[in-house]
Amino acid sequence: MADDIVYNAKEIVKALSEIEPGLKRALVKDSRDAAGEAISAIKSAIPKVNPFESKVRPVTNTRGRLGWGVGKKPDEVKFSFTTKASRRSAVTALASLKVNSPATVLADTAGKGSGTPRRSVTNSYTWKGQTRTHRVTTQGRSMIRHLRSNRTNNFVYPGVEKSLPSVQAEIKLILEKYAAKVNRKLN
Amino acid sequence: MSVIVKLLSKFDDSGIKKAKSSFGGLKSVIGGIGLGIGIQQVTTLLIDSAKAASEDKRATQLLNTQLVRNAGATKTQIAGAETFIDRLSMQTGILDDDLRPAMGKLVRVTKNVTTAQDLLSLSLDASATTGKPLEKVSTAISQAFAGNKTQLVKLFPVLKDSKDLFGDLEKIVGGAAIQQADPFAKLNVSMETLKEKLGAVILPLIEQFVTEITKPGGLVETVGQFLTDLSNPKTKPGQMFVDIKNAVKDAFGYVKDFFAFFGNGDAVEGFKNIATALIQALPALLALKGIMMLASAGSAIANLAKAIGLMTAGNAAGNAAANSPLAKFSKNGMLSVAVRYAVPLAVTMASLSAIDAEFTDPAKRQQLAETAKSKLPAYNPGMNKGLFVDKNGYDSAGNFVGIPSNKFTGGSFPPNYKPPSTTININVQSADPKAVVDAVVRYQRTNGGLPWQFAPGFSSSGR
Repeated sequence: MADDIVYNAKEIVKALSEIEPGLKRALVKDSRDAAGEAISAIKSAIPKVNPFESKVRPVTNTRGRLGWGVGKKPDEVKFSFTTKASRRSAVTALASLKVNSPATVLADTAGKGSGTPRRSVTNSYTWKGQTRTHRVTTQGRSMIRHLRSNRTNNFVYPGVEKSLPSVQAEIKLILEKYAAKVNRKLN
Repeated sequence: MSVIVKLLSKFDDSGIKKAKSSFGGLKSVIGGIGLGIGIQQVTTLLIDSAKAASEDKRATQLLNTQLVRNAGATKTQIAGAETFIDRLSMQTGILDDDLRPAMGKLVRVTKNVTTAQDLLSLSLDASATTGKPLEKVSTAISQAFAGNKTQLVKLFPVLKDSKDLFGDLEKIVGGAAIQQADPFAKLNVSMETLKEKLGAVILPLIEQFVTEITKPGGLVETVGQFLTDLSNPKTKPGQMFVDIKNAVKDAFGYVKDFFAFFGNGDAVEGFKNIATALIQALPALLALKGIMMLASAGSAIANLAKAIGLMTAGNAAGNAAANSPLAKFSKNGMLSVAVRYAVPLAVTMASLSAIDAEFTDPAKRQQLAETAKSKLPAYNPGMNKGLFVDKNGYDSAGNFVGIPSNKFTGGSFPPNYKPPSTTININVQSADPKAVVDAVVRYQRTNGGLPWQFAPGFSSSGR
């Protein structure tokens, strides 16, 4: 998925605010509307029921951080438009879609790694007022097997892949439209 | 953790530049404090420290003058202001070199040291909040103090209708400078301060040194006079300089004459002739050098392999060296024979030109051998015994020593000829047998088989 790179996004957005208050907001709104198709595609690709449930593990995690639908809706997709610079990378996302639900992310990324844990013991973390570590187990393998067999992993990108080119082109056009406004005003 | 789908990307390296400058600053600090440094770096550090201390001293004196002139500051107030600047610099990570001008500007307006200090703190907070340079903010605040609040309102539009300008500004920005202080900047300031302190110790010594060398009759005057004399041929150093110049000129003339001798008066032509001759003789010289090395080092098998390589190169020498006696000797196969059967060479360098004559008369050959024997006995032990090779590969004593090539004998192997089973013991002192075997195997792989076999107990794998 090759995406286009804008070189003066920060200047354009800054100039928009200076030209007319609210123009920046209009740009973001237009871009969000353009991304609607991709947002719908991702939402529809996210499983409707808890993909972690199985005959082997019928008890649902309803309280933990990684519980399906705990804290955040599983099919929540947020549109982000940010011009903030990163200290680690020169090329960053200007417009992006984020799936923030931990359970959804866990299900989506399960099985995408090498399958070999990077370490045998976790970093130390706080637990009930004390610090502890735990051994990295192989329990995740059966979870990955289960998700794979039900085809409930790796769904975000495949789901959005089809609509992505048209959405990208549309957002680019929108940005160009607003950039033209800035240029007209400056010239 | 989120799954992020990029729709459009942007390029903005300002964040990376900022991160780099932070780490760059740290690097310069580490360099400055001399972690793992040598003498030169220590010297540089001392000089830098002295410079920093000198500049710091100048800036401090300038501020102190303004404090006294504008606010009538006492010695205690001056010392207090200095401490205030140092502490503020440490807390905010802004160099005292930037703080002093701002302080001077504010004290000129307020005519009071304490008020100026308060406004300086406020300026730092406002600068940190707005991201504007301290100089600009302190100017706006000093103007506002004098009654012109335009610049300050531009920076903070909410202050437009403010009754208590500085009180309201304090509420908006108070404490921002310390909160937002960059840890790297603070570290930089700390190290810079240490550097200045170090410089303050060094500075009097440098001042003393400078006074010493610049006084009448000191180092600067003496060396300066010497340099002046050098450019004047009437003085002693000047005359010496002229002599040296002439000597170099003469030497060049001699070298030029030397080369001109080989070029019919033309030095460049002579140089060209010598260079060409050397290049043409190079393969032969290399081969000769190889033989000499082999003869002297003899016991090292690695040298033997190298020598074989050199001889092979001699055989393959180009047309440029084709007329050299050694090349002919090599081309005619005697070297190959000698190596192939590892027999003592029965000819000398002195006899090479005679071999080239392709004579076949045994009497002549014997005469030549006697002549060569008397000329170069040291190089040809075989010759002392009257050895020489006939067309069938036998010496004058009747021993088979090798088959010369057919160029001057047209010979071939004698009937019922069997190559001699000569055994050569090569003793390599203080060498790893495996390394020796590996060296030979490497040679074999590159150049083909060797005319010997290893004694039992050795193999190419070194076992």
